[in-house]
Amino acid sequence: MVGKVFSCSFSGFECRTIEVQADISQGLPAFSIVGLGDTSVQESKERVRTSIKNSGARFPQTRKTINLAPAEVRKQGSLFDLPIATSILLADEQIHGDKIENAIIVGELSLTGKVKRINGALPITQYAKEQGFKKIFLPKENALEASFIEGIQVYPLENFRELIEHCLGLKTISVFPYSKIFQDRKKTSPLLFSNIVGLEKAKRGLLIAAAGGHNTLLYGSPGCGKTIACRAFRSLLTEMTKSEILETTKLFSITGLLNNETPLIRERSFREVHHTASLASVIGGGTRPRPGEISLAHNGVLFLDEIAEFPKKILEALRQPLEDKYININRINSSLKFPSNFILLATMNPCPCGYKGDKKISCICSESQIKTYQKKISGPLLDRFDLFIEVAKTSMGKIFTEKENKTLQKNYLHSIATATKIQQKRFKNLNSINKNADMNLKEIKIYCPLSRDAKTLLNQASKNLNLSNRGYLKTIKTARTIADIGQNEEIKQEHIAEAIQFRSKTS
Amino acid sequence: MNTKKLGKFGEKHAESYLNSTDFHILKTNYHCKYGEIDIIAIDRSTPQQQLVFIEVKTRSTVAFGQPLEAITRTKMQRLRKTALTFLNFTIKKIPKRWRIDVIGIQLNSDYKFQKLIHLKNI
Repeated sequence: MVGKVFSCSFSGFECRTIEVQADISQGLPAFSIVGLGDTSVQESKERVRTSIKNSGARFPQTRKTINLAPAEVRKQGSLFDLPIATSILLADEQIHGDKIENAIIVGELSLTGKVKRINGALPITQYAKEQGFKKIFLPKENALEASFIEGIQVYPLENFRELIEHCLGLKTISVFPYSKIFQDRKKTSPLLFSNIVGLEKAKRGLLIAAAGGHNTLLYGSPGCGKTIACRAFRSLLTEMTKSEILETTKLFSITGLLNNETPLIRERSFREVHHTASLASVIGGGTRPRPGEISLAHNGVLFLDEIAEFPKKILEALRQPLEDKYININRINSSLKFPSNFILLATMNPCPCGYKGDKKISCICSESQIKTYQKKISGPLLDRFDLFIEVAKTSMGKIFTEKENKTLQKNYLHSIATATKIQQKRFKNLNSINKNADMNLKEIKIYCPLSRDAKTLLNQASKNLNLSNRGYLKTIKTARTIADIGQNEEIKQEHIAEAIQFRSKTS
Repeated sequence: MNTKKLGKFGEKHAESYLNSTDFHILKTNYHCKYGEIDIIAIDRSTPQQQLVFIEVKTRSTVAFGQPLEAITRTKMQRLRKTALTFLNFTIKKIPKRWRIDVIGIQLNSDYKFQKLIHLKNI
């Protein structure tokens, strides 16, 4: 007798239906699992055996063979415990299969028969729905996370006995109700952008960056407020759309960063990475490839404080995802693709001692020292920044004179909302483009009409500043955002002028 | 009841079971330097009158596992070697077909017979 249930495995961002077949035949007691499972799949034998016994069912004393089909797909993780146990009871004819027909079953078992939480419940549920499955049985702790998918019945399981009783018709598990994705109105960021005193140029630049999604580099002497301005940037981020929430949450689900308090990522992520981080943790990877910080920052911000201290390897690896908005992780036995559409925010000092260009303190670095320091950031990476902001020190006396202005934050958010609305209207028919910074040459030609004197200014500046082709286009994109903030249809000379001002790195 | 007695008790049960079916018992407790075979019999239900080597496992409690779970790979190897010794030295004409069976006997806590499982050709 063969018992068959459906389960699901995921590698990277992609899921696959896995058929779990159990065969029970005469012979000495033996239990084998075939179908390219890793160690945790092999170890599930012991968990399955004891939890069947401890759930009031009988573990058959014959030859049991489990096949995980398709056989050529590598299977990982403990989420096959529950389907394996179920298929054994089906094959032993202890339960009937009609209640779990057309259903995906996932879950890890403990020795007592308790069903434990798994990673990736959200992408699995979404995939199950897309594949036309009607039901999904999963751990109770994952139910909330899975309930955000509409059109599939979510059955939460506390222990294996519940599933047995459900199949026998003794007790019915009630379906977990569908939860609506709701957007967060209140921000958790304790630091408001309006709390920053002075730094007018930096604030203006960051405002533009937030409105158009532009990559920004801040540089200045130590203690001038670069880092604090970047952290306050978080309070400028706009609300996420429902599809963005779902996408980012899926990445967090795979990484196992969700819990019942935060079943959804409703706020744009702001990932601050320290410069000692390893390549795999930033880019993604590992023996069981998982998303790195750049993917967790998807639809949000990746903040690299002291970018010059980062290993060159990490910085250069950022080049491709910055351009393509996704990262390919290639290993011998798998090739994975994770989305990574983020705003890159970085800070650095102009030189090793940090005071180059400072008005009061003189720099003590030699010319060659400065050269080596600045060489740490390669030209191609620098070219990918849209805005360069030189942060000048503000005199501390201002701290007490400047009154706290409550409407200030509102004004900031208002101008960003205006620009966002214009962009949403502009790109509503385009799939991959949501922000001005995402535009390619084709879109720039359509959506960025330049006035004649703006064009003249831009051409002249590109000659003087030796702008690359990419830099040229990025300047137009920045100018587009500046025009959007001012609610101008056409990009005028003043917009280009401001964009160029943020483009030129003086030191 | 000690283990030796328990084993004997089970073997007696197995013998009476075999006698009641189509088996003809040739020898019990065959010894050689490799080990022991509990029962050697001829299965008359098979067309070739197959020679069968039977290992009997008796358990009075399942606390340490089911009777058949006690048959490990080394035990199987020992059985096979002993069977081959028997075939080579004890009988004149080696039959073409022979097999090894296992009989698991489960007793309840009062040492009363509960269940018998006969696994053929393992």
